[in-house]
Amino acid sequence: MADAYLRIENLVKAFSGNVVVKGVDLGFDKGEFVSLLGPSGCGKTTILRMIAGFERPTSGKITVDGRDITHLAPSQRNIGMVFQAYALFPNMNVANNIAFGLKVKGVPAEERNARVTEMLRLIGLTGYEKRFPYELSGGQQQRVALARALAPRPRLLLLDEPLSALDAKIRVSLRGEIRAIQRDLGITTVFVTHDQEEALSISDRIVVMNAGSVEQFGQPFEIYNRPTSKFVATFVGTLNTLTAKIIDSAAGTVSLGGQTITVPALPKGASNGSEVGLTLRPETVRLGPGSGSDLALQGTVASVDFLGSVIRLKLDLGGNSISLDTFNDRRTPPPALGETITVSIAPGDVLILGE
Amino acid sequence: MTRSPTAIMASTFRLTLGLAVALLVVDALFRLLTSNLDAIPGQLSALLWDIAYVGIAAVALSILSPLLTAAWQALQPTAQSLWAAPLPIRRGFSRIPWPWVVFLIGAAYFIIPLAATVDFSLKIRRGTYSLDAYTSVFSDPRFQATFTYSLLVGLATIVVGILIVVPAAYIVRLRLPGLRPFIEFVTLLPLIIPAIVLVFGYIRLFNTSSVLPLTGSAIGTNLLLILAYVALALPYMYRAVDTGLRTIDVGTLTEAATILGANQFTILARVIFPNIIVAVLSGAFLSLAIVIGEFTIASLLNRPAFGPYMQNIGANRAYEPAALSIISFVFTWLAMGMIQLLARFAPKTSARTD
Ligand SMILES: Nc1ncnc2c1ncn2[C@@H]1O[C@H](COP(=O)(O)OP(=O)(O)OP(=O)(O)O)[C@@H](O)[C@H]1O
Ligand SMILES: [Mg+2]
Repeated sequence: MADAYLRIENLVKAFSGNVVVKGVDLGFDKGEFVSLLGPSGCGKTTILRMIAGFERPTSGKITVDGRDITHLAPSQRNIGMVFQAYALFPNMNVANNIAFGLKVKGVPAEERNARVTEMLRLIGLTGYEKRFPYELSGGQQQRVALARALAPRPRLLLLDEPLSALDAKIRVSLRGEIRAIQRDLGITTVFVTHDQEEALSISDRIVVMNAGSVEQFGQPFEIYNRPTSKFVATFVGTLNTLTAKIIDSAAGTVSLGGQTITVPALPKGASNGSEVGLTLRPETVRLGPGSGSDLALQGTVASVDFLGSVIRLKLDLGGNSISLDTFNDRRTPPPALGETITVSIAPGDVLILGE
Repeated sequence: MTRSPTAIMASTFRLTLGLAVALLVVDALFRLLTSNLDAIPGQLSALLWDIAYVGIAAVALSILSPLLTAAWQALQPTAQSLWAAPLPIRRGFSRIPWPWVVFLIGAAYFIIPLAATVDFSLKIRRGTYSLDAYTSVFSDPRFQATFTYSLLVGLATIVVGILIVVPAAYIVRLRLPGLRPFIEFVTLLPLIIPAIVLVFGYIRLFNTSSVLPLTGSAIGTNLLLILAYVALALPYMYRAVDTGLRTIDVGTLTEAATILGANQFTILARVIFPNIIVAVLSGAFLSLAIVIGEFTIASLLNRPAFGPYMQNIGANRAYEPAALSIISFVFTWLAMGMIQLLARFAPKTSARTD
């Protein structure tokens, strides 16, 4: 953290008394792809715009490569930015759009043209130099916007929901392309999104935000499997919550559906006999009785969603309800509605989360 | 829902003719009742001319009607129902298509005097039609001089206007959106304050004994005239530019250019202006149309402009003024036509999702 490339220290932003970023501390490594993930209005864009220089922080400090940029004008920061609405210059063709940053910096024409050609190759749009933005599809426009941002070799790349104006299919393919280009160039990138799947699939690390504060900062695997708060767990992925009764808080045993299981850790100070919420991911619940210390539960099938490769079932456990994911298997049809089936849970998969 | 142009023409023609006949009957009765017996042949020939005018107007209106419809529909989608609705089968008073009656009276009010002026301007020679009035106007060196002068002043007005209005409208939109209603009100002031008040104010402020004696020299007075015209053109220029700015995402485009290292001037000149140029030019042509024929200010500042020349000709000749009005009318319509033509070249924005 001390030698982070992009450092944000105790960053606060208030809009006329309304504090929307509440003392954020973050450090990103050089060449890292970090996503800011959080619900609408949690302050992701505001943080990004403070890094870009479009918003002045109320307090706090932003440094890039050890240099304080908090009060630098946006045009002096050498940062590339991609906007949700593409924001290509409608009066310029693709080549001129990409060359704009180089032109205002006074790069000679020859070097500029070479760079434009290189950028077009990078985004796979060679031969599109003379096209105007309105002659391109949304995905192509956003790729040109990416090339325009990258052409002046910025120190940082900022992307504010660059894919959310696009159709689902393009969104998935373009995010892969963005990630590949970013890896290729090794550019430190901050990517804002409110789509958890998008963040999980392309980030080195994810910052999960809620109401102006950082909830958790870590690798996708960590965020998904070891969420540190209920907010993170529910915002990233689907979660089952089961109510259990604590039998012995010291030993970590609880009673669920008449069976006693041992769970990893109970909240401190929980008294015996009180209720506690157990949470677990749908994919950790397995069909069939399981083995060893696995907890077997019986329930009736309340709904069956066939999603293709995955089948999501909802079970009624009598008081509790649970979702579970199972892979499609063409030899075994999924359980029918109303059928009583047995499922199993490994106690190690159970998460106990504070608020 | 849309009807074919020929159908539109036919129905317009029918309606216009109905109205025209009604007008002519009133006209004929009026003439017959107010003249003595020996004047009746003359009145009859006048009546024949009236019939011809109204007929021409009806035909012209019918030919133009598909265009007018298209324009009308573009302006106001609900207007479609006017053409598309089947004629209601009703009796008596309510059978008359009142919206059409109002529209046709309006159109006739505009077309009939125009047709009469054209006719008059061609009648400089007894008994035949000729273009002599036009030849005479065009070959008058004062026409050439004053028209050129006004054209130059008009162009200068446009340049100064653009330099003032574009940055102002841009800044207001970007940084001071709260100020917009106030700025809009200010830009409308020239429509409320009569030109004569403006020019007397100028003369008082900038007379030869003032701190800035602009009226003391020809150059100074020309400058004053241009500035006065900038003020006159302000409502049109500001509105046109503001409309242009509305079609682009000023904020995001500015940010996109800023983060790439551009300064305010570069952004205005290379990003904002080229994208609103069509709107700017439409404001410019409108301003030109106003400035070319302006009389009050030019006359009181004693400038050799086209407006005072027209007034002078109007006071001293008979047929040339008619030709002049037609010329300036055609000029104005050309300017308006240019606005339409330019709209095709506007840079297009695109918000595709594929
Ligand atoms: N210029 C501004 N003036 C006042 N309030 C603002 C301004 N910009 C943002 N806010 C407020 O700050 C909060 C955070 O906004 P921000 O745009 O950062 O959210 P976000 O996380 O990017 O949300 P989204 O996912 O919807 O884009 C919101 O409540 C918003 O209303
Ligand atoms: Mg946002």
